[in-house]
Amino acid sequence: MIRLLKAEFGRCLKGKLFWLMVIFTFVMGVSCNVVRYIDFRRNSNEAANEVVYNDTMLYVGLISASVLVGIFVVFHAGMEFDEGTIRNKLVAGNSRSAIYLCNFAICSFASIVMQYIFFFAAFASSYAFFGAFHHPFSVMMQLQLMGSLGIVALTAFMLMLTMILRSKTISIAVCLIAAVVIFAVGTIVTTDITEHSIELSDYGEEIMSPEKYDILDRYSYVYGVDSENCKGKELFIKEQLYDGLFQCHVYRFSSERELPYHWQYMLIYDIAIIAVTTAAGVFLFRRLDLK
Amino acid sequence: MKELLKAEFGRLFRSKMFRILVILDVLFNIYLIYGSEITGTVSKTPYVYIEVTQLTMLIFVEVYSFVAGAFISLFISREYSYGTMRNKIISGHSRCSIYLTELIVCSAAGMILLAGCLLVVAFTHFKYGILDEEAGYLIKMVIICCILVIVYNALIVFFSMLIDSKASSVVWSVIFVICLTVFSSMVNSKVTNDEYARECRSNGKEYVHSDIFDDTERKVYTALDSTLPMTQLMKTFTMTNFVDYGDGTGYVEEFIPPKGEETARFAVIDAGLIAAVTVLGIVFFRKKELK
Repeated sequence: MIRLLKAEFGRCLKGKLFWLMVIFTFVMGVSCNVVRYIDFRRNSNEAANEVVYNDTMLYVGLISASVLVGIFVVFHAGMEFDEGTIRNKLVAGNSRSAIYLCNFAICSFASIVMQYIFFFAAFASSYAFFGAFHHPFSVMMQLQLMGSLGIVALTAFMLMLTMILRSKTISIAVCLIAAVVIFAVGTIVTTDITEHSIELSDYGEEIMSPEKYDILDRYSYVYGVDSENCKGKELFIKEQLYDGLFQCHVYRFSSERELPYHWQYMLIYDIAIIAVTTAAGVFLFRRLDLK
Repeated sequence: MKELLKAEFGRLFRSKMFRILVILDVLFNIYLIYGSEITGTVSKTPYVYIEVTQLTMLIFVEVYSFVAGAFISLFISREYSYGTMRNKIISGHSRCSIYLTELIVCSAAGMILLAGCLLVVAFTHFKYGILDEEAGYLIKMVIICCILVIVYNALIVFFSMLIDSKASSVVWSVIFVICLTVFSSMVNSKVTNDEYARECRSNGKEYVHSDIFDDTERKVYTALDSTLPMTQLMKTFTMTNFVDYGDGTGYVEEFIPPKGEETARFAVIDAGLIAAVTVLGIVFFRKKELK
């Protein structure tokens, strides 16, 4: 397996794909801040000394990670099916589990490298242009570490799809649609939960109609209160998605000033996703008929 | 061209992927209507049927843009990988007719999916009933939906016909749709902020000065706002608005019907866009070297 890992690392570092993705994430990290800075300069005529806290820009890379990870995983791991290198590896005596785990290690490594390149590029440019963050650096690093675990979970999921589907073309279509779905579901769950909790705390039972209040009460997530203390199964499901979906994690990283509520649950969900998707992927890949 | 159309329609109807999409389309629309019923998204205005229809069609077109990105790219790029594109040219078909055939067949596929959505929506009138004026609104919405589906098809067919590689074609199409969606939201929010700030200024209320565009900016942003498919969609399918009439009753939910002139204007702009993209696509496709 070590020889396989060495060969895979060599292929990854020698390939154009990895470096193109690295350059792209670096440019994206810097350009986000440049655009924000231009916009800020244009809008800040009256208060030139206004302090801008630019924390949200540090997490744009994580928000768009599902698309980037999907593209990298499919073009790296899916290429092996098209070029026939998977069969060569099997003929050379490597087990299917070892091949799968090697691909997982390389794709996770590349995804984490891209994540940190975006983070440091965004941090440096943001510091140069604005110079202020709500988060202390230690909290940022803790959030990025949690983000890394989420990225690995995302990689495990995308790799499972790629290795099962075999065709690079079908895989890229499925992975990109999956990325869009993850993004949409994460956004909808976060919006629903935060919007309803704001409505509940701002208006209360006295002002809104009883039906409206009942609906909100059933579907709302009250910050800091577990679902057992609220009504409804739907809320329970939404709360689990809120704690389990990578996209929801990222929205919470950028909107809160310390480690988010239920951060331990986030880690547990990420580890569970990695374990389940990798086990399922290895199991299905071992049974796959490779023509 | 007649023969080509026959052959392509045959390929479309035999495609497993298309059949699965039709089934998913119907199930998804049933879920949407059921979801809007149970979560109380539908308002208490008398126009319940049209609101349910608007919501379903809005989400249909949004989701369709992503699905079409993957489906059309896979459908068309298969012609390159199987070599049928060359065979068609050798058997005497012009490149122009090949391009137009693909556009017509993909648009027909979009229309069939839209018909699935409308079929599901049609059944809901048994529950909500339909008012006389709602029929007129419905026709306007269906016209805009049909045209927007063709606009998305024209844009995605443009990419798919010019990129040989299946995987690259899917990536470019889906990434293009994602960028278009993000860009449209940004343009729409800027135009809305400008309109709101101008209204506040004329009413003597507080407003953010930097939200107001200068004349050139306003022309550019308004032109973009009317041209981009996603902003047209958002404008046509704005369902309700909260209005304060100042009579002490507070904010009242009011239904916003789609405006006739706006529908006609969008239809003309979209027809121009479809024509421009198709002509460009044919010009590039005629110059393209087929290996």
